[in-house]
Amino acid sequence: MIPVRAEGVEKVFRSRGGHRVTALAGVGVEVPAGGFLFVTGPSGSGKTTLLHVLAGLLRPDRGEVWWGEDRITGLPEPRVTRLRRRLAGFAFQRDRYLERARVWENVTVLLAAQGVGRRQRRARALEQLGRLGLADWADHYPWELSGGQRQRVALARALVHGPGVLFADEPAAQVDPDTAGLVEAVLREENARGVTVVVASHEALGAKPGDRMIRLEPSGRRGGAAWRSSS
Amino acid sequence: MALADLARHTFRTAVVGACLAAALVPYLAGLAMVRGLEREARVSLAAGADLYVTGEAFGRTRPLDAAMAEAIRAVPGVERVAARITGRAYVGGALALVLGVEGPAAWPAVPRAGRGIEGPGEVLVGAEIARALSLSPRDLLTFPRDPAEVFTVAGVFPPAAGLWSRDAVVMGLGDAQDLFGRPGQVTEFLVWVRPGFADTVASRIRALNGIGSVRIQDRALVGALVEAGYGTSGGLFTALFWAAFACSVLAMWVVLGFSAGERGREVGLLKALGWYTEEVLALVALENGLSALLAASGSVVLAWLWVGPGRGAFLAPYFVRGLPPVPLAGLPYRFGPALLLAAVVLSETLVLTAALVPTWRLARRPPLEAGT
Repeated sequence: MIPVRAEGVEKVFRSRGGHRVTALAGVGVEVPAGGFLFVTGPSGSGKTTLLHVLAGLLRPDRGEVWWGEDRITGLPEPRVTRLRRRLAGFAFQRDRYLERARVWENVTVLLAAQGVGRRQRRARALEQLGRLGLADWADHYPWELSGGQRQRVALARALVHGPGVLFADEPAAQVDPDTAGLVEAVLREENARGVTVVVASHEALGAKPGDRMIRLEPSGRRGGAAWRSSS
Repeated sequence: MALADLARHTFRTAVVGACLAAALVPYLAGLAMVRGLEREARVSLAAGADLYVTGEAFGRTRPLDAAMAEAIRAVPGVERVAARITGRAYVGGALALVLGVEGPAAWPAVPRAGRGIEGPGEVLVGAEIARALSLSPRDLLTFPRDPAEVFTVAGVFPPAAGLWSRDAVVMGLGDAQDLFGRPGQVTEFLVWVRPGFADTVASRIRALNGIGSVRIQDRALVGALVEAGYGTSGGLFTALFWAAFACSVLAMWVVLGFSAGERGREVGLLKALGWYTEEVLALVALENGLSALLAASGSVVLAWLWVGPGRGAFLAPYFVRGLPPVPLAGLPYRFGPALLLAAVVLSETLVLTAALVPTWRLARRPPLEAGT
């Protein structure tokens, strides 16, 4: 059970043409241990960037992020990697796979680094893929799957090592309502086990009482990324 | 996982392997030939005489009186003396090495088709000469410089008999004297001495009445000349090789550069999923190390095919002047441990440097900066 907190997070991207794009400006957020947070907002509002910063995948230009007692924005990169490996799982929205590895191998990439044997890795991959209705696709390659299936593979990969905090970027963006329900059910199961869940999506569909929500607005509307939170 | 990764990146692995092989194969083949030639020369040297006595006039070689053999034999410490004529003569359009030797005892002890020389007018011919003139045992042979003198081919040296024998025509000493029109003269004496007597015998030979000015080379000096010769040829080859090698390395790095984007995405992904920098580096090192080892092993096999079954085609003439582009038989070659180690070390150094440096730079950055 890991609480996640961020304060005054700012992130500016610089394009090759020299343009500055402010993705986040002074964003703060807090999710208690075992909590469920929706990060919502329209396209381009900085949801994915905020998730990346919260997960330690991107360093903010300003502001701080804590996982429990660890201020990950103040730690050197190797320490952040150690924490992420031990505590976090991240389900990317965009296609991020080892293209020439099979689905089950992609799901267990981290387990391979941890020295888990091939047979056990495959079993754990099948377990997670089965929860998400993809057991039959384990031996396929990512490029043989639809966008929605690949997103579920990403979620299976984020869960396979039993993280304390799960970051999921648009996990049900490209799936039909039934499959979206399946994805939501898996997220709720994990949350019920005490996993802190942070989900980025356009709308907080399926939000329940007790969930937290932060809504981001595109930077152009308010002269910089703005946010609103509610719980 | 590195093995699987290697299989997954077949195109990258194949291109890097091809670039490495393009650089390594000629290098290995060439140096294997140099080492083989050097070894054969050493073996010949070990089996040869202790002293080589040639006449000298105005700084150039001159014939010696064959009768001086008796005077040399009488020098204390001398065990055996053999007179020899070494010359060059055209035969059927090819320039042959003509060796006049003093009897069966001085004949080269190499296998041959046919039989040995049993009397005047008989010769043994080398494989290249036999091929050029379509000679086989019992055929007749004449030299343009004395068409009236007809020789009978008693035997033919096989291609593998040794480098020296390929364009050689071996005959009796008297026949060689007649062929060159130098009766009673020889080009050199081969002298075998008792251990420790080489210097004394050399001094005594120089002082013999009637021998005139002579040049005496002992085994060590000839060995040093052989070594220097092969060292130079090996060095020249290495210099040329490095020029080609640099081009190949550039090509390989360009190829690896093209795959840097893919590599960056993979590194970023692995880091994002929780791989440590050292694990990413270990994976890349293992994958590329295996790739380099495969390339080095393949290069050794290809180099062996080139100098062995391929007879060093188009490469052998670089080391031995006068050989045709595709020799009848390959030159001697030797893939010693040092050469094999050099292949592996070169290959590993190049590939690992090209792969690990950019990976290390990527892996130190936050995952999404490395992967995007």
